[in-house]
Amino acid sequence: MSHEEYPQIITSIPSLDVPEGGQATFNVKLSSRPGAPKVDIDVQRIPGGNGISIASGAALAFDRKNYNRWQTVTLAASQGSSFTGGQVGIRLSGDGLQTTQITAIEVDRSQAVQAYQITTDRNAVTVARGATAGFNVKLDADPGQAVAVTIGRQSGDAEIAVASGSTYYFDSSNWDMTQPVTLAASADEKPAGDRAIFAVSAPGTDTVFVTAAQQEAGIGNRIVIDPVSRIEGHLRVEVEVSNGAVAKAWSSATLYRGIETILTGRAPQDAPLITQRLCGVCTYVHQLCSVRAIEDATTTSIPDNARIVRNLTLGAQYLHDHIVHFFHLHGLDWVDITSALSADPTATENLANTVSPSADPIDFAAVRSRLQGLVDTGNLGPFANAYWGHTDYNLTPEENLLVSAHYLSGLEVQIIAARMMAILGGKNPHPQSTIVGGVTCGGELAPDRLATFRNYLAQTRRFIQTVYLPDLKVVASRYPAWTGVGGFTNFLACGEFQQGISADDLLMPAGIILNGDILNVQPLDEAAITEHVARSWYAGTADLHPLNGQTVPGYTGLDVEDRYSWFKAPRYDGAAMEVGPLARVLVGYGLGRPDFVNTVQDFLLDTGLSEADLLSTLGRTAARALETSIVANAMETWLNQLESNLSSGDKEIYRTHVMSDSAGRGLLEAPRGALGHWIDIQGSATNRYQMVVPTTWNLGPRCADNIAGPMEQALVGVPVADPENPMEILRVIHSFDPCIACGVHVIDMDKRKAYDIKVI
Amino acid sequence: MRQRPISRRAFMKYCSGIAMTLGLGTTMIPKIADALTGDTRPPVVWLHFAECTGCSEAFLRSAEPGVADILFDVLNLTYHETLQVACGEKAEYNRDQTVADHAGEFICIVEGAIPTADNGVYGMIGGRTMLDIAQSVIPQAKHTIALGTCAAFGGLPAAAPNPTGAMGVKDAIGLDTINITGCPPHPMNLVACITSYLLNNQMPPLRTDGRPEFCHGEKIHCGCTYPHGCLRGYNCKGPQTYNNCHRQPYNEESWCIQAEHQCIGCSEPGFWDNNAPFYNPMWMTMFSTYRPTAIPHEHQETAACTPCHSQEFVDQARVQYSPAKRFQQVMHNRHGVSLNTSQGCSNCHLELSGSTDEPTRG
Repeated sequence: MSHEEYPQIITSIPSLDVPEGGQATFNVKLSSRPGAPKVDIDVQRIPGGNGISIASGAALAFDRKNYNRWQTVTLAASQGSSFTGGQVGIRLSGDGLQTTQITAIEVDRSQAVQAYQITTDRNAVTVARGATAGFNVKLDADPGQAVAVTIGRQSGDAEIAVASGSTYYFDSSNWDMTQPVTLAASADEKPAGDRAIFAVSAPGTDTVFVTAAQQEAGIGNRIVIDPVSRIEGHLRVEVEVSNGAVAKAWSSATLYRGIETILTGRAPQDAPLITQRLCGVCTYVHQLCSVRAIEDATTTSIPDNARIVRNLTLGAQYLHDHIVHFFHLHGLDWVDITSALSADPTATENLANTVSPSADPIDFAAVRSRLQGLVDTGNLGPFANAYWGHTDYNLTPEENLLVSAHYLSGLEVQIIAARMMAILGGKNPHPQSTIVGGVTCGGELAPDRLATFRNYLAQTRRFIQTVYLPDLKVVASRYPAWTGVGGFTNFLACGEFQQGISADDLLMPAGIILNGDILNVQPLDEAAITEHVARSWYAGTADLHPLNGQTVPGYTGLDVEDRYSWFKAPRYDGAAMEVGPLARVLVGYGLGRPDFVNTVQDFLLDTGLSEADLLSTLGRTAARALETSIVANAMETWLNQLESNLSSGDKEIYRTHVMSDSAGRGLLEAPRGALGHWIDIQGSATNRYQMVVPTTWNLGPRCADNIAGPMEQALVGVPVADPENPMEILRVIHSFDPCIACGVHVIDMDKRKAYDIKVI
Repeated sequence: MRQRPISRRAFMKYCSGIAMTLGLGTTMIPKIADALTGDTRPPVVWLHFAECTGCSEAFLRSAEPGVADILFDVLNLTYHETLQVACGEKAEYNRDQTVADHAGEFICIVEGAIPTADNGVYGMIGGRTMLDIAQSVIPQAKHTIALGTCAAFGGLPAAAPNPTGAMGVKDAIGLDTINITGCPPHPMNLVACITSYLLNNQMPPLRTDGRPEFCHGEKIHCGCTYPHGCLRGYNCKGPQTYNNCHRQPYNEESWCIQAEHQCIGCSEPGFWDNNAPFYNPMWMTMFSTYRPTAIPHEHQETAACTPCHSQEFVDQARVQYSPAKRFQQVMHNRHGVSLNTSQGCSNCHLELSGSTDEPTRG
């Protein structure tokens, strides 16, 4: 080993004045990369006569990465020392290093007149993980000589370091010219301290300290989307991008209302009205699920008419929800409205005729001029400042105009779809007619009202068949790459839409699919469901069945390496499971149900896709449309059943019940996926209430075993062409149709005050 | 006047609907049309706090004109987390830019209560608490509409024991708001309020609790049409609830009482606590046998009174105004309730109103 390979210890200054009763700093680094992975430097005071001591930096550690970055040593001189004017040597030594030393001189306060001072433009900076931040440095007066200003880390997080500008020489010619210092935080995601303090020091003047706080993330390797719009509720998503694709993802729910606590002690029959207000989008599902839980607890049976009315109401919810999701929430991830401005209306009409010959004609020129009119006002309203023009918008201008036109007609159709629910439930959102034991809306089941319902159903079905499904195929044909992106492989469905007297006769069967084995559907075992809280803002790390769930909240600040969501993490036998349209369609398809097999195979045939392609972002979006058509068809059948019952004299819609001390559970397939409510009734009051909702399945955080949630896993590998405009990430998030309000609802009053609230 | 894409006829129908909701004469219809077709769409920032998005969903059901017309032609909705296309920083930019460029001009619509406990950590958007966002945006607005019972009075998140310290906007930040309540509120009430602003450059007259007179000036029971009979025996809160559900059906189709579910008083402050339990014992037993018809009249009197009066008060009144006929007369005079006329009977006895083709319960 040659002599050159031994690094030398470099100090920023050969001698240092330390004012009596004060402090002074100097900086230290190595001249070259050390051979050993880690080199320790001892800073010692050579025994001698004065009152100077080492205040900090007595032990410095360098490694092969940071060898050339300044680290700071602070010396202090005691007050009233009799040795003023004395000198002491400070020796710096380390294994395999040549020992060096500097001289520290204790000076009288009056002697330590500062001719100049260091000024920085900021005394605090924030630096995102994997990114850089900077500040500027200069002197406030002519130093009269050349002085070296060095910048080194004095203390704190070793993940933040000076990337450039660690040494500047100032003299009479340049003392007032600002010089940049760049700090960088490593992209390493190991938990680290939040901040580091950097010393800006020069001989003969006070050291200036700059605090660098490590930010959660920013544009760079990490992308944070907060708020995520076009969803229900408040969601934050953070992803780490590497080589142009997502490497890791974290999903955080950021609102918490405490609904389960509010339920405690109240009359059980009120729970459906209260849980309904979890969400105004999936407005019916919690009410019905809650009613089912109470009916299970009180072993209440319901009349056949009530079953059908509930099916029709929930069916209307599906139709409404899925149409709005595709055209108004998710669609704009695929459709560039601004591109539609350059479309040729005649060509669009021809396209419309090809895509869907039987659709209602649309005046595309009028639609285009309407869009143009909005643009001409200069205020795009809700369309402002989106990712328009992104390179991954693949539709032609005519296709964009076609689907944009359907954005508008879809707004009208969703009003019609909601009216179906209003006929049976009184209003939408928040229908009110479903109660424990049946339904109340007997007077509204008159023939003329049901005829109106049938009319609305026909209009909605027509839209689904002639607009929704054809548009889906247009999107599918233009985004073939999205059959390979954003997929997941485990699926859970709890079954829905009881078809007759038997509880097992379901339109949508229950089942489990693991590892993408679509044709091997396993039965659902409810006992295998647990909820983890290790990475959520709740105390403890245990995973428990919902009936025994513990929910002691403790907000600890958002730290993706630790706890980062108000969602719990539901797991099935330890595995993360996707729920929702894709799960239901695959389970139905895997079990060979004719409705599902026919619909799915028609779609695959039309688009040239394979079964495996369905395990993707596009598959998720497609499954939603396919099941919309399956449910719409079934609604026609149920409506016929209801009319037949009523006309044959069966007008029963309600059965009485007796409240008893017992527990019950309700399961339901909401448009967004499997939903469960668990109620424990004591003394005719709600003792405990727990809910596991679709969006916690799909968007929940990591669990105790550090297994990421379905959406967090689905995001991995998603390409990100432009981190400033991460539209691809939005596509995956929206494909799950997140509904955050449902997911976050528990709090414990007694423990509330004990939170450790970290300032982010 | 700008070229309108919807038909003139549909548009005028909408304008007359607004005039009716606001209680204005037909002479105002052309003025409403002018107000809505000027090219001065007011900037609107719609904030979502501790909410369920039900108020936004209700707004999306606005039918005449359709919500598309409102989005394109009536409002310049620059920030709405459910509808806006932009996400993350770009979305926040839209909001902050509107506040900066149109301070003192824009309308702020708030949906949801504001969690205030523990410095507001229970609701965060873009790393800021909802409380902080409310405090920075709302004081800059010309008018703030608290849409829905949560934004106006705290609503469900503020129900006992109010785990997150949720409050209505006025209580949370101390500024007056226009409170359009209901769970959800009828979309027409919001649209009418905004139209009134476009028309007069001021909001419609308000009650002392901040609720507009035109939609919250009358109790539901006072004008109720009893679509399928009066539900007083079923703990109906119509007699204490100020709203106009009975005047304009939701979704142009129906409302709770028409679906034969009693009113739960969802537009009133504290209704989740004050009105619960929503299903009284009488409700349970009576409902199981038949609808209101089955309530014996002596029970019905009690049922009619107890939503507003204590049982003690009713018992005293019964003694004071005996015999029963006189008691009924008093009820008729004081409350406009007729229990001993054929009109009153048909409220319960459907056979007297000629409608028998309805399903029964039990």
